[in-house]
Amino acid sequence: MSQPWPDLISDQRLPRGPIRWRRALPLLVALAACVAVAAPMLAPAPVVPLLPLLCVMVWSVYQPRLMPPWAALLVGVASDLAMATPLGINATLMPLLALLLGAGGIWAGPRPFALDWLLAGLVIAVYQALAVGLAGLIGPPRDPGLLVAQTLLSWAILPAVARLAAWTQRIIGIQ
Amino acid sequence: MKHRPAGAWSSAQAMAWPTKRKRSTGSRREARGQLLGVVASVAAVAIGLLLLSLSRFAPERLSGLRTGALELSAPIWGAARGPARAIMASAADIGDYWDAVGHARRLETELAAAQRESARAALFEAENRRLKHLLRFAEADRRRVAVARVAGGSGASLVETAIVSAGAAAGVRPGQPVTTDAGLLGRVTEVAAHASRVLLVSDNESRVPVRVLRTGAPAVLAGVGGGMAELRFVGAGPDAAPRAGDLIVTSGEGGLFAPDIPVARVTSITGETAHARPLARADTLGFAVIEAAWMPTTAPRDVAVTGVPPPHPVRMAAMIDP
Repeated sequence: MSQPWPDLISDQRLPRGPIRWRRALPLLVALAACVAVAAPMLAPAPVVPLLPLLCVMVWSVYQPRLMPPWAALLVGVASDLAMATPLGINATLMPLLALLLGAGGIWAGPRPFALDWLLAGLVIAVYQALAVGLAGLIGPPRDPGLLVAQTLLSWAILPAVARLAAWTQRIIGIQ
Repeated sequence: MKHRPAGAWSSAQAMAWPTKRKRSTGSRREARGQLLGVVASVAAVAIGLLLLSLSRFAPERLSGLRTGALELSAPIWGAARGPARAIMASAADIGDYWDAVGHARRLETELAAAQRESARAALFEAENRRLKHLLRFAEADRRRVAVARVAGGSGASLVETAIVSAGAAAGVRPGQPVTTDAGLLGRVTEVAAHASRVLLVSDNESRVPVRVLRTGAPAVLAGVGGGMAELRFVGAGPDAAPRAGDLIVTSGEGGLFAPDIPVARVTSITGETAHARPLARADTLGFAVIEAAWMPTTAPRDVAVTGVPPPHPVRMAAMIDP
């Protein structure tokens, strides 16, 4: 498999056979992250990092075929159910994010991770602002200021999530 | 023979029907896959928007999905809470050693204050009993429905809820009050067979009829998020102005929450707004009590005989309190 990535057909990129089931690993890890954010912790403000969002972001950028928008929809629905937010907020924003980040391989090509990390902070902040706006359309208005700590924490642990994604990718066996 | 430059096309060649481009099976499959991918992507976003619309206009249609998720997630954290609690308890033990002397002094001060309050409370209780007997006021007992573990929280969400591991099978119903040893935690909003979701007092959607214990002034405690709430007074005079440190208890108005359950403590006053911190919000990984909705009952025979409306429990409480 010495051809460049864009010249490969889909079957070459994701070989068939016994490792096919491993393609579900990114989705399963993201769904497990949805359970993790529902930990029994009654914090005065949202402080648990948005792990499902980070999973969707990382996979959409680095391996979009393993986190297509329909998979991001499942993660979004699970996030809404786990976090008790009105159903549809994350279920709309996550597939939209996967679609925008994964479309046309715009992130293909080598670049420093620091740049990705910087841009990810902006994406998380915009995502949180949109989520608060949508929540305000459905229920009472919420204070977006309460999300600052969560946004910063989510941004801070992004490298760890990216490392986890790289490790998962090695398990899957895709170059 | 006329010479024609190399590479020039004859008119017949130029007008000929273009030959069909042969595409390999692989690239056709690739194109079909891309098309399906685009359709699936657009469908995913459309489904998300549909769910959003249902949440806005017909949330009851999604209740099955929500209760199903509750039923699945509660046992996971119910099982995981054992080790988590052990770790937190160990951390708390270590912290206690660091602050043992200061902690003991604080406790001594609090004990002295509590003993004074206890003596006063005993006097009031006796007086209360006499007055109630005098007016033949029958107060309903608080009925416990279930005691359940807190099996889920909302540390990642602006919506402040908790999951408790008791559901419809234990008799839990939507709307029932939930308390902890510290005070009122909130009320049940969603019920699955073996788990329920509790809307906390500090959530933006929460409204609890309360009164200030010191003055008896009735108010509504409205959640504002961030683990805090605000007092909104209902026709209170200037004498009823709250002070920082005032204890807020339920008033019993509305019939859902029993009266006199501690709810919050006033932390600060800004202009005409009193900010309060719910007492039960810091209770992590503990137990919660789900109670039946409290309905004020009065002596029905007296009503039937005399036709005079019975005394209202809230007004009664206001009369009895100093």
